[in-house]
Amino acid sequence: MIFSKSYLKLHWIIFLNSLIPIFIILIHLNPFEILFFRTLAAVVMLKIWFIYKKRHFQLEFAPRLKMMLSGGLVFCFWGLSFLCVKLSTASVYLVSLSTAPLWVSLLQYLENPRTHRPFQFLTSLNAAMGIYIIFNSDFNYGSGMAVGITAAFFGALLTVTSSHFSKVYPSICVTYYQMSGSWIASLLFLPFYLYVLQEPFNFTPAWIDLAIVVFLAFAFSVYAYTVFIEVMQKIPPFFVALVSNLSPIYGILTALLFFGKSERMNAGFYIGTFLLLGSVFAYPALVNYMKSYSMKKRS
Amino acid sequence: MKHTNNCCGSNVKTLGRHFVFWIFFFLSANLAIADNLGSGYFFSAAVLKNEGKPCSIEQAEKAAFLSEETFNKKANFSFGFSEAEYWFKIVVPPQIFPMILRIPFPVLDSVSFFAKDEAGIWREMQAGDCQPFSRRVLPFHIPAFPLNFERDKASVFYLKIKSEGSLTIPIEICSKDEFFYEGFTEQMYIGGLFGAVAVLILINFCLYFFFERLNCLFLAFNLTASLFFLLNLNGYWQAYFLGDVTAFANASMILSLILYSAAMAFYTVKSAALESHAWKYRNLLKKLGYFALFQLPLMWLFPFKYMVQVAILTGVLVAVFSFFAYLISRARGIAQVRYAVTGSYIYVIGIFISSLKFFGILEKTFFSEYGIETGVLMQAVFFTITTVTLSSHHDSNTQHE
Repeated sequence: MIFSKSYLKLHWIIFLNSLIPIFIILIHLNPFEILFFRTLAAVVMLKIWFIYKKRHFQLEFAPRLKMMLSGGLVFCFWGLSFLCVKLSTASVYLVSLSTAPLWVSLLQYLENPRTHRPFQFLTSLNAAMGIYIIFNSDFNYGSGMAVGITAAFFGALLTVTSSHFSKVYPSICVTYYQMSGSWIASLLFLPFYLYVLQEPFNFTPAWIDLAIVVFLAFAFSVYAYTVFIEVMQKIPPFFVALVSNLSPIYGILTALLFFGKSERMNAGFYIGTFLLLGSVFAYPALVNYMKSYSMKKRS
Repeated sequence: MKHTNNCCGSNVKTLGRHFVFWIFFFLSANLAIADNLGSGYFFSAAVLKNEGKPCSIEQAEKAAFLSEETFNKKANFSFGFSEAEYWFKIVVPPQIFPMILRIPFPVLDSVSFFAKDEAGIWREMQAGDCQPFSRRVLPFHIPAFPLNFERDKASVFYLKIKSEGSLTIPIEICSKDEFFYEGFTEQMYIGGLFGAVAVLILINFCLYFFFERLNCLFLAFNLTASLFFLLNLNGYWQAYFLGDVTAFANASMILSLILYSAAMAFYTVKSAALESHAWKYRNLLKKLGYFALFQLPLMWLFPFKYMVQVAILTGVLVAVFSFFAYLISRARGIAQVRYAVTGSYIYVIGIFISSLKFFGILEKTFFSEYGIETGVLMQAVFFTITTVTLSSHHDSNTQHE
C-alpha cells in the first residue's frame, strides 16, 4: 500500500517542498527581491492556470479583502523564510520550519483553551528541549534559526487563518488572493526598503535567477498544489500529515548531497533535530493511537 | 449577570495562565543561557605519554608529555574504560588574583595535585572519593586545589588521577572568588532541592501511615533512593556523611543506583500499569526491579567497573521504560497518570541533557549542569500529584460501587 502510485506521489511532493531552501541558496538575489519576484510570478501563474482551466470565482468584496489582508502573513512568512536561508543554511531553515505544527497547536489552544488535547504539552516540551540542545551546542547559526522559528510562527498563523477561509472557499482561490495580498504588501514595503533602510533593489535580475524564481512559482504554487489535492482524495489525512513531517529529513539529506561540508552541522544540531522531529511525528501518532484504542475498546 | 461574571472569571484565569506561562518562560530562558560570561583564564594541559603506567613526580617531571593544548577556563579529557594512572602537566600563566584548579567530577577515586612550595620542593595534595575527606586542602565536595604562582613566569603543576570505570576528567581553572561564589550558589540550589524532596518524602510516608496507600510508600522509597543517588553523584555523600570511610565510597554509588532502579520500577508497576493497561511494560519493569535487587549481593563479588555499568544501564532502562509505561497508560485513557508522564519525561530528558554536557556536546548552563537534579525534583512533584490523584480516583470509584 505504501508503495502505491498515490503514496509515491505524496513523497515526491514532500521531497519537492524540501528543495525550496536549496533553490533559494542558488538564487543570487537578496531575500526581499526573491519575495517580490516570487509572489509576482505566483500570482501570474495562478491567473494563467485559472484562464486555462476556465475557472471563475464569484466573490464579494469583503471576503476578497480579508483574504488579501491575510496575504500580509504570507509576506512575513516567506520574507523571514528567505532571510533565514540566506543567514544560515538549508538544514537550519528546515529544522526551524518543523516547529510550525507546534505553533499551530499553541494557536489552536489559545483559540479554544477548553478543548482537551492530551500530549500537546509533552510534545511541545520535547520540541523546546530539541531547540534548546541545538542552541546550546556551540551552534553558529543562532540568529538564522531565531528568524526561521519566527517564520514558522507566521507560517502557523497563516495555516490557522487559511483553514478558516478554506472551509468556505476553494483552497486555490484562497492561495491566489493571499499571493496577491503578499505581492501588494511587498510593493507597499518597497519605498520603505529603498528610502528608509536604503537597501539596493535589483529591478533587472539575471535571467538564470529569474528562471529559478519562475520555476519556484510554477513547481510549488501550481504543480505541487494540484498533485497534493489529487493525493489528498486517495490517502487518509493522518498519513498525509505524517509524511509531510519528512520534509526536513529529505531536505537535510539533499542539502548535504548538494553542498557537502557547508551543510554539515555539529552533533548537538542532529540530536536536537532528532528530538524536534520526534515530537512532530509522535504527536499525531499518539493521538491516532488514543482514538483507535478507545474505538476498539468501545466495540 | 451570572454569565458576565463567568466571562470575567475566565478572562482573569486566561490572563493569569498567560502571566504564569511567560514568567516561567523568561525564568527558564535565563537559566538556559550558556555560562560564557566569565573572563578567560587560559592554561595549557598535556597528558603523560607512558599510557597510564605508575611513576613518581620526579619521573613525571622528566618524562615526555603529548603535545600541549591551550584551553580557555576548562578542558575535558576522556580515556574510556581505564584503571590506569594518568598524569597531566598543567601550565598556567602568572595571574594577579588567587586561582583555584577544580575537577567538577566528584566520583574520581584518587586525585593527587603536585605544586612546588617556596623552597622549590614538590608538595602533594590529595582528593578523590577513595581518599579520606579530611586530607583535602579545600573541604569541598569536588576535588579543588589552590594555585600558587611565580611572579614573572608561567607556573607548572602536575595532576595524577586514578579511577575505576569510565574515565572522564574535566579540568577547570577559576578565580578564588568565582569558586566560592559558585560553590555557595550551588549549595543553595542543592540545599533547596534536597529540602523540597525531603518534604515530599515525608508527605508520602505520612500518606502511607494515615491512609495506607502502598503507592505512597513506594514513592517515598523511590524519592529516598533518588536523593541517595544524587548525594553520591555530587560528592556530598562523602563530604557530609562518610567522611573518612573510603572503603564504602564506590559501593555506595552502586547501592544508590540499585535502590533507585528497584524503587522506581516497583512504583511504576503499582501506579502506572493498572490492571490490563500497559501490562507488557508492567512485566518488564517488574523483571527489571528484581534484576536490580539481584545485583545487591553481586556488587560485593564482581569488580566495581563492571557492576557500576550494569547498575547505570539498569537505572536508565527503568527510567525510560517507566516513561513509556506512563505514556501508554495515558494513551489508553488513564487520565490520572498525565502528571507522571510529564514528571518521568523531565527526568529522562534531564539525564539526557546532563550526559550531553558530560560528553562535551552541550555548553554549561543551569539545565545542563543540574539536569538530573532538576529531573528528580520535577519527578518528585509530579509523582506526588499523580499518587494523590490516583488515590482520590480510587476513593471515588469505591464510593460509587
